[in-house]
Amino acid sequence: MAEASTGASPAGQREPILRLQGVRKCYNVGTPVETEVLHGIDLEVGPGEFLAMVGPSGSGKSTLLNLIGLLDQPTAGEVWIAGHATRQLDDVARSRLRGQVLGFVFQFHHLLTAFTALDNVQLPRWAALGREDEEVAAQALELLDAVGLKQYAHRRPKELSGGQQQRVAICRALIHRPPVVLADEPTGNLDTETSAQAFSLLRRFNREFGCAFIIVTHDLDLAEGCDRVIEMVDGRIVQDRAGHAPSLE
Amino acid sequence: MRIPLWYETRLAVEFLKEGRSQSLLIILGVALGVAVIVFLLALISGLQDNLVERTLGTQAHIKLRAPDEVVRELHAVEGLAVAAQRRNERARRLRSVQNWQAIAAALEDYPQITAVSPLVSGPAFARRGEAFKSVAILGVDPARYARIVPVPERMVSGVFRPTATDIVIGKLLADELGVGVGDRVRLEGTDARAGSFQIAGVFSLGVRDLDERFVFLPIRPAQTLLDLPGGITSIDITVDEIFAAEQLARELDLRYGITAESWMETNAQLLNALRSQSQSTTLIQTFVGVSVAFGIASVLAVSVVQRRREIGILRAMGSTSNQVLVVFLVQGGLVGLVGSAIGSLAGLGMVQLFSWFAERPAEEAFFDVTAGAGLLLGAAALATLTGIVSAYFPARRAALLDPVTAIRDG
Repeated sequence: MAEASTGASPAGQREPILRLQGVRKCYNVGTPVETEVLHGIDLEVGPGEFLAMVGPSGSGKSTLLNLIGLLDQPTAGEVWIAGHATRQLDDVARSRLRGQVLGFVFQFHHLLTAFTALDNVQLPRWAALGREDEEVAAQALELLDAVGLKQYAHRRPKELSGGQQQRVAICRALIHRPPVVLADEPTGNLDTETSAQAFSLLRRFNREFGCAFIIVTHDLDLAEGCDRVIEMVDGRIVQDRAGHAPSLE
Repeated sequence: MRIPLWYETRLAVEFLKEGRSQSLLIILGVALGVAVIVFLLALISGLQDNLVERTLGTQAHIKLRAPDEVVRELHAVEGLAVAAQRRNERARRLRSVQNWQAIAAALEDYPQITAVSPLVSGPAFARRGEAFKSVAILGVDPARYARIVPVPERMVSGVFRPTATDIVIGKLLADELGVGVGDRVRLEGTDARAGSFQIAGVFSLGVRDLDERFVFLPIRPAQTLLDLPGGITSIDITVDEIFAAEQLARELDLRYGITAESWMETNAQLLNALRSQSQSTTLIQTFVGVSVAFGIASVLAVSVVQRRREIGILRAMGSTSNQVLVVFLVQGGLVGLVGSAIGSLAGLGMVQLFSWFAERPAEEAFFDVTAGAGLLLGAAALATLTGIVSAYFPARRAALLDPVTAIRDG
């Protein structure tokens, strides 16, 4: 087992799109049950990297993903995203930054059931613009077309299969072409075939749009299909290596 | 064009549409509350207007008359053994308002006074054959008096045109004397001054006492009958703001040194009753409003719990906590607005239904629709505001949700 990387990005000399330095996360700070779940994480991710994060349950993967996603604040350390230091940002600035530079794909798709597939895809842009936009609608439709769901654009999530919903969720994460997409168990809820489809979709968008992907997964086969695999145990990165079968699609 | 709060409103509308039965229930709740408020308000204000109108329909807003004569006390004077032990009030006689022509002319210049009518009134008897009735004769300038009490509109037969030889009498009096237009009646006034008059018209003011006793003459013959040559007993006034009458009366009282009585003083009990009625109505409305507010707040609080995960996703998608806050405030506002629109219509329907059951003629309808527009707009604005205010606490909870736990726990 190789030693954890010190943070050097395999993507080479390019400025990292994401940089974590000494990130620690404690829960119940100042109480007798204070628990540290992340012990000083250093990590750099270059633009367009396709990275898997693996590890047993409770190893801190999701916590780390939430910190990277600006959904949570580190107890110590700093997270830089696309050149922005995020520790001092207030809620509005964090929300705006999230809407600009991050895309999220969740395990349970988490589409808004009140909206059609097309509306769901547009939501992040609506939040940022505060209004509808024809161009955004056209882009959303284009994305849905790219994942083979153009004819379902006006259906609501309940009228779509699990795999279709996940494809809509992937489109939603990409509508604003974020430099970083975070995926938390994106295939965890899908059967093998649909998982493979969803994964190859992520891979395709990674190549087409040049977005960096950070995918938290339990599926080791899937992880090996990534360019880089980070393994976490007990709140530490214990391994940072290249995937064995990055060509898997 | 940029629509303000488009994003938040779109989310609010879709959320409300999705939680259809829940939204419908709370909108119905608001509608019911607003209907009760509108109905009560329309009914009470309609009834009150009606009462005031009926009261003022037959009397002046302010009556100016000569001050009461006061008996001066006899004080003990030094050197005199006995002062008066008893004071007898003097019998009141008809007295003229001093300098009334000048006062009446001066009153015409007040902007808030809409009509001024000098009046000679006093007791008399009406006789026709065997029938003998005590009456009140009112000497008026018909044109001026018509602006105080619209007698011409209340004519049963004939015309309101008293002249030196013609009089106008009340319906009940006409019935009791068995006379009609064209018949003659003898009036006997003070000190056996009498005259025979022809009836030019018969009116009905709808107040028994007046229809039984009032006899209208021109000023001069009335002065003759009542032995008040050149004098008048009162000046009747109407004003534009009826509830400002009392204040103006006090002012006139001071300025002209005559007794000024406003309708508010002579109808103090009525006013008091109206006031307590308004107070109890306000109380009921407040309680209804508060329960509506609690209803909205509790339904939205449930909605926030149900939508925790979606709120978390919206936050992850770049929505600020303020945007989330506004989504729920807009929901509260929309519920209030839609509920009040339905409720206002229902309230109006109830008023119509009530009028229909009460079988009142259209001209006596409780509720003036033109005045209703303001009431409805007010109700809608108030309900929308109530919706927004009651949505605040649930909305704040939604805005402060931690996106991580919201997404994880749902």
